Amino acid sequence: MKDLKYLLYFENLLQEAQNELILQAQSEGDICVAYVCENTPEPLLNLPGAFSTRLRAPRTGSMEMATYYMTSFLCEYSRALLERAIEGGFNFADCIITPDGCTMMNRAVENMELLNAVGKDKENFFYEYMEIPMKADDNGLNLYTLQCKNHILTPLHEHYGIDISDEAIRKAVAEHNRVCELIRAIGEFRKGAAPRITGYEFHIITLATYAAPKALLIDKLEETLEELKTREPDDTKYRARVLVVGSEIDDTDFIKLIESTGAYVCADRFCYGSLPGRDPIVLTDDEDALTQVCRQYMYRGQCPRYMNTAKMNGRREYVNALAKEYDADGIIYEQIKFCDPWAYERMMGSHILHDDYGYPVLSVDRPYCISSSGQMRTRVQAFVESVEIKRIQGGEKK
Amino acid sequence: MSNKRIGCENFGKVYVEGKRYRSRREWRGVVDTLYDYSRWLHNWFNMARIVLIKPRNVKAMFRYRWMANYLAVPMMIDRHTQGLRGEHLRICHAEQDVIVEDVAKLLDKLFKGDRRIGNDTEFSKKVVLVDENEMQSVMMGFPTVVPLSREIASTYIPVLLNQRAAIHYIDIAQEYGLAGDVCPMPEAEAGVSIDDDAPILGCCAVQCNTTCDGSLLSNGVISKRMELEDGIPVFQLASPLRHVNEDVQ
Repeated sequence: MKDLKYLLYFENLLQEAQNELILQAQSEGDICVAYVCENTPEPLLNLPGAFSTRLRAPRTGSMEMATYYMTSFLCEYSRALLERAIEGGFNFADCIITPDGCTMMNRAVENMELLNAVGKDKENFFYEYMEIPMKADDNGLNLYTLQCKNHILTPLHEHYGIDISDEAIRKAVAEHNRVCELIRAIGEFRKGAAPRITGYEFHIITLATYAAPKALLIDKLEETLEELKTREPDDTKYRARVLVVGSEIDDTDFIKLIESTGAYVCADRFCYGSLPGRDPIVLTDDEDALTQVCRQYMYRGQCPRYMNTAKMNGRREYVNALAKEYDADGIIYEQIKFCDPWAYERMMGSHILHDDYGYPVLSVDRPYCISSSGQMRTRVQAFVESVEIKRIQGGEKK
Repeated sequence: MSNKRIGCENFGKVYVEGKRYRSRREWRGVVDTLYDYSRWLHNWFNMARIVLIKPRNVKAMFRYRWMANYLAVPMMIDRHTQGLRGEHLRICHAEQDVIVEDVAKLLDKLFKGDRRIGNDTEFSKKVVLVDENEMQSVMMGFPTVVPLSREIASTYIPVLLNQRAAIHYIDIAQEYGLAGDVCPMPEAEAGVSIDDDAPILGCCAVQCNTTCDGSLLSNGVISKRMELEDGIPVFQLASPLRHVNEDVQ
């Protein structure tokens, strides 16, 4: 297929945590709100005068310093972030907001604060820690709303004078929705027998919307969408369409590795992915915007920390629904090494999606930076071959 | 280094290979040794009175793999009281012996209501299953129900008795697909559930996310069997992580 015009541009944006669009936005006077977890409602971080960036540590090598503070038993993503913070890679941020999505992420940011690793020369820099619900119910919504008010909106207003009114939130939601609609529209080209965008390309584009100011990406996303409408798909026959489910993937090499084996990543149900992270937020006029944003984030969130039975079952039903919608032949459940929440979710999800829903499932754990891991390639290749053979032999899904 | 107090010996002396049993017992002087012996008898009496005397509990010893670890109860007390004399010895025994009696009662109640053992349905209807690290104090507001923890009996106490007690269940969990790098405590609890080696009783269960992410997640594994197979409805009690913050009260 013809290269997408802005693919290289998006790839370059992802080479560093502090990309050129962040620099541009800050030079225009906007505040950079850094966050680390998908459970932080993005629109609240993108109020007028502020923009969000989800912290990443691309091209992480050793994590020795972070391991010293956090031990080697903790998730590599959290350690990579701490390592990068200690190295000074996040000094561009004007604040860091973290929920207790998992204790490891919490500790990573707490260590950043204790070590004074970020924002030391910034007078108004602040750290905030949110308590977010573990159950999606009315109590949880009350908690979520209060936490967002106390640990996102109020500090942004007090430290940086950001407008946190209902009107400002609605404006931020509108901008957020525009990006979501574009990503969704681009994602539609993954459906069908001849997709016009590869999983890798889609991941790059989606990742850019997490890492860079959204407002500055809209025009390029719109152009990319137009380009895709007339892009000629390859004649390539993919060996298998796979849905990737799991913990955070901000390393595009992982998706590239999967697709290098002949598979096609047709849907991305992981942190930093578009499902459900790029679902538009629907607002009505009969309730304040903050509550509506929190409600939708809470009910649609697929993080395994949500522990009530309905949510647990809902996560697997959601994967099944996505697999049907995107016509996936198989599912890859992945997790970062040392991630406790996803270790259990991966175990249960692999069995349930295979035993109850009838999908071929590959269950893997991976390091934070996969690069070109031969072991992973072998696992994925074997899985793709088994799916291919099943299809050839006429295997049917339930 | 020698200890000049009466009846004390260097600890290494009690562990001499090939010697008779006597050389493995700690001599604490006449008074303390007699005291220690009386407490040993007391613990055995309690265990026999509460657990061993009932045939259903003996049946449970053969049904549940983790019950074998309870043969090491006197050894656990010995380890905790090793080297202690006088008041220290008595304080330690006061603490340990209460634990022995309490756990014995827990085991007896679990097996009483267990569908596979005692099957006392009337008693089972009053039982609410709680997690091992759940604050059981919340159940004090419900005097007509009996809170019981399966995890304490199957995982928490056996690993105090035998350091290898959880290995089989960790193995089970990892064979089922759980990564080997998670905290082994909830991993072992999940393994007990996957292996179907937990008593089945109770009108409902209240799970809590304490103390950690691992507990939170392994509850999901346990609740799946409880709800779908055992027909025991489960309620999840969400305890905040930042529990001292004013805005989570």
